[in-house]
Amino acid sequence: MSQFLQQLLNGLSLGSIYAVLSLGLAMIYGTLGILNFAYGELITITGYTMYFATQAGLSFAAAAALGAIAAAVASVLMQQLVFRPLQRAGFVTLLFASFALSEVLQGVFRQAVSPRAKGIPLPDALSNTIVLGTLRISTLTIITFVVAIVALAVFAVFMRRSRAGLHMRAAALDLTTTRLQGVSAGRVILLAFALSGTLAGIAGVLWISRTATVTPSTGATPILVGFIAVVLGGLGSTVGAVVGGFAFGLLEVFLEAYLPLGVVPFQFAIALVAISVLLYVRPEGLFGKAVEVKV
Amino acid sequence: MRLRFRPALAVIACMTLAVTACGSIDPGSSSTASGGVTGSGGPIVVGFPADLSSTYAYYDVPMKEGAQMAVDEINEAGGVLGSQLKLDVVDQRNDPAESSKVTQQMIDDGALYLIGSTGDVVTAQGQLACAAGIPISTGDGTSPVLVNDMGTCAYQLIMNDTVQGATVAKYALDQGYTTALTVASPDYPYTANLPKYFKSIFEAGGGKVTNEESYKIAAGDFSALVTKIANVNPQPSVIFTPMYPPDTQVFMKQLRDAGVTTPVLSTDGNLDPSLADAGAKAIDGMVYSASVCPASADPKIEAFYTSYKKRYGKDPSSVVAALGYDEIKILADVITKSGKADKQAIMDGFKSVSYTGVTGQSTMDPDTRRVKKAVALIKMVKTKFTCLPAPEFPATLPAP
Amino acid sequence: MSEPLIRVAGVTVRYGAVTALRDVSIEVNPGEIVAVLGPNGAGKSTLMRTIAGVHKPTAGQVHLAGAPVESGSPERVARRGLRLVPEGRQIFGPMTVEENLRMGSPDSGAALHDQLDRAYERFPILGERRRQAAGTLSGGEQQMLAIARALMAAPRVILYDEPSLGLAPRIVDQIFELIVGLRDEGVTSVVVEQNARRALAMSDRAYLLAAGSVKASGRSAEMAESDIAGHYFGTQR
Repeated sequence: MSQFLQQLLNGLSLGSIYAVLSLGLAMIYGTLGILNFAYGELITITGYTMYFATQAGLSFAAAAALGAIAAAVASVLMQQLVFRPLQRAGFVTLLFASFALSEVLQGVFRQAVSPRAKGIPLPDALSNTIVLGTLRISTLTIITFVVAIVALAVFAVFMRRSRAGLHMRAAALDLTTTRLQGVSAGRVILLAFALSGTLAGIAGVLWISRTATVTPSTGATPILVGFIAVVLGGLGSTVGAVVGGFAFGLLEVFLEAYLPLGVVPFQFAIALVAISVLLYVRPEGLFGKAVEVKV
Repeated sequence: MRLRFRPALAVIACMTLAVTACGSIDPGSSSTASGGVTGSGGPIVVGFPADLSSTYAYYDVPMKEGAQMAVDEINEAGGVLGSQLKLDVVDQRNDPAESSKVTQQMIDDGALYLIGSTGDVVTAQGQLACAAGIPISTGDGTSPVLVNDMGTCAYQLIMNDTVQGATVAKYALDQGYTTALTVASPDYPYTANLPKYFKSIFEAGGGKVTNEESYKIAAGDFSALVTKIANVNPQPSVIFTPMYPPDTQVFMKQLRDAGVTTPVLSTDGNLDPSLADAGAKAIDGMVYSASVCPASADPKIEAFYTSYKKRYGKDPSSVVAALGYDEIKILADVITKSGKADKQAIMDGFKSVSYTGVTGQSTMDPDTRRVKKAVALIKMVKTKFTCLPAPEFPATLPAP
Repeated sequence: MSEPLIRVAGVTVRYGAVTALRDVSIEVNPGEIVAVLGPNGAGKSTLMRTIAGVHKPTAGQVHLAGAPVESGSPERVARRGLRLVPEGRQIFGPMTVEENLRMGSPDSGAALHDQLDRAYERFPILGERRRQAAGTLSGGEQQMLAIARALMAAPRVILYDEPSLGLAPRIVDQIFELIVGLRDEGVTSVVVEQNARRALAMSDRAYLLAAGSVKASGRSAEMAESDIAGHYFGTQR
């Protein structure tokens, strides 16, 4: 029982990172129909920013803040330098452009920094353990969960209450009609990339706090997970992305925890098969809407 | 393409450089062009189709640095049998097609010996070398099966994974550990096989592997695994895993945060400065095997660093440079002893390598074509890399 | 004669091999209701969307209040006081009625609240349903919402694309009354309609579009229905 509860906490904590991560990915897909595969590199950029900031003697908190800001700035630059010039291009072109961008960035990290892991010293406060009866919970597990939930809540309030949030939600539903209301597409898209990058930055800080290292391919696992969670939740649905993130985090932890040893190596495959079955039954994902076709 | 560009670049270099500099480039390009067997006048060409920019650059770049230093030293002292050595390094980016192309080009250009690159592409490099009848090393590759996969012209000049597994198991037994939990990953042979090597020697010596767990490489989170380990009752006396950075940092941090204090043993992937950044709480007391001790812990390596820095004005990228250095020294020794720079003579000479270099004593086993070379054991004291007393070469090795 | 509010001069719009509009010229004067009639596929929606800046003309120009419209940038055209009430309403279904109205407004704070109050005064049903998802409204209510949304910015001109589509006759009456009423408040209107009789009855002038070209135009009262019917059924070419 205690092990189950412990694993549940592990799953919720990991899932909360995945939720923030996939939300940022879903935003760009929702607003622009772009699956940005270079999104994972935003996590890597957060990591390297934190690495260089701590090397320069900044505190961990300052490094984390800089890391998140760097991801937001990089996300906006991606839009300005890569996606905007290609705005007339189709889905596949943009997908490949984002693949290419991802490869280029990884190459740059390898050449400019190092192909190997760079360590980021973490404050001791992140590795304390809280003992609750038979449960041992690391402070990082709790902090991760709290930070992620607060980030999701702030995001939800921003999208619900603010004028910019209203415009972004509208743009995700129907960009042309949104523009016909006098709302600047350029501003909405820029804001979407800035927010997406901020979410990547927050997820990145949480991810890096867990890994304590950054490598040129740090973004590979997050982008894969984010992509799966976004599809699981329903492409374009922000609620779906959040639920998908939590669901995938819990699935990953429980499969690792309870599959027999010989099967554990297939953990990821089993998760993907389960999701494939779900998508077969519900092609639109958990929260997606059936696509309306206008004739 | 490569052939056409090189002479053109050489010409441009000649036009911009002083005439004397051109003179020293010339012999190299003329022998490259002729492609024939190197005579006493031309240099002895060593090819290294390396991964200088991708996954394994961390190993191949220092291999290149160390090899170049050995080449420079030897040439300054008059070369080998009167011939200069020439190290031809081309980046194959860990791309199998590029690797084979580069390797074949080096063979066609008259290389007499190849340093194999780190990574899977080395198998094909070996097959090309064997087809051409020139010897090739496994470079910094530690898998014991490499020499067989590559072909009969392949030699392993560094320690291999069976030695690591056996040495760490022996260390565990010597520490009085009776039960062990292993964490493997089926993703790569390295992470899949080392726990088996460990188990075979540990159990042969009276220990018992009570739990076998697995992990996914680069998962970024091992909380589920760690919770499982924390709930093993009774706790094993030791944990063995061939995990390497960046996974080690995550695992060790989460393991210690979960309150598991069981000692952890591991292998050479962890000789990486980033390990220290996981913090003392996570890695203090961790012990692992490696080809070499880091410079700060071994006077011979430190001397190598000093002379490298004196020559090039900076440190080598990592301690792996010492392996590249020793490899060229072994090659020079083989050529000197066989008395001629001929591919068959070199091939035969490798069967009886016995050489003590910066990184230790290497004795070739002509049957397995792997050197018998002991590994070093490194212990993390807080975040400091320290060298444990040099272990003996194990009496028995697990089957590869 | 003063400058027309909208001047479409020789506009051709091609999508790939398809020519949607061919050398179309129309004018809309301030305070007018202009009907654009024509069968399905005549290019009426394309014309509206071209005026609104959604499409770029392949040839020709569109002027709004004497200055060329920013083709390809509908938001800039919208900010110059033009609103399109698109075909099929295109309200934001998952958002609430009030959020839809906020979308129409360039303002926030007190100005926005005044605009909302006025909208609810004009359309009490929307006030009752302000917290409801717009997609749950009836077709007629959705059309009112689309018009109310357009009015939030107090536009000079509103383009209506098939406002009667799929609505009960009683509702259509209400919508048309509203459009006429807005003329008296100084709002110029362009109304695309398939129902020629009703459109002629409520408009000042009309253009007949068929196969991407203007086939007839004139004062609505003077345009005989029989002239138009042929274009609908293909007897006149």
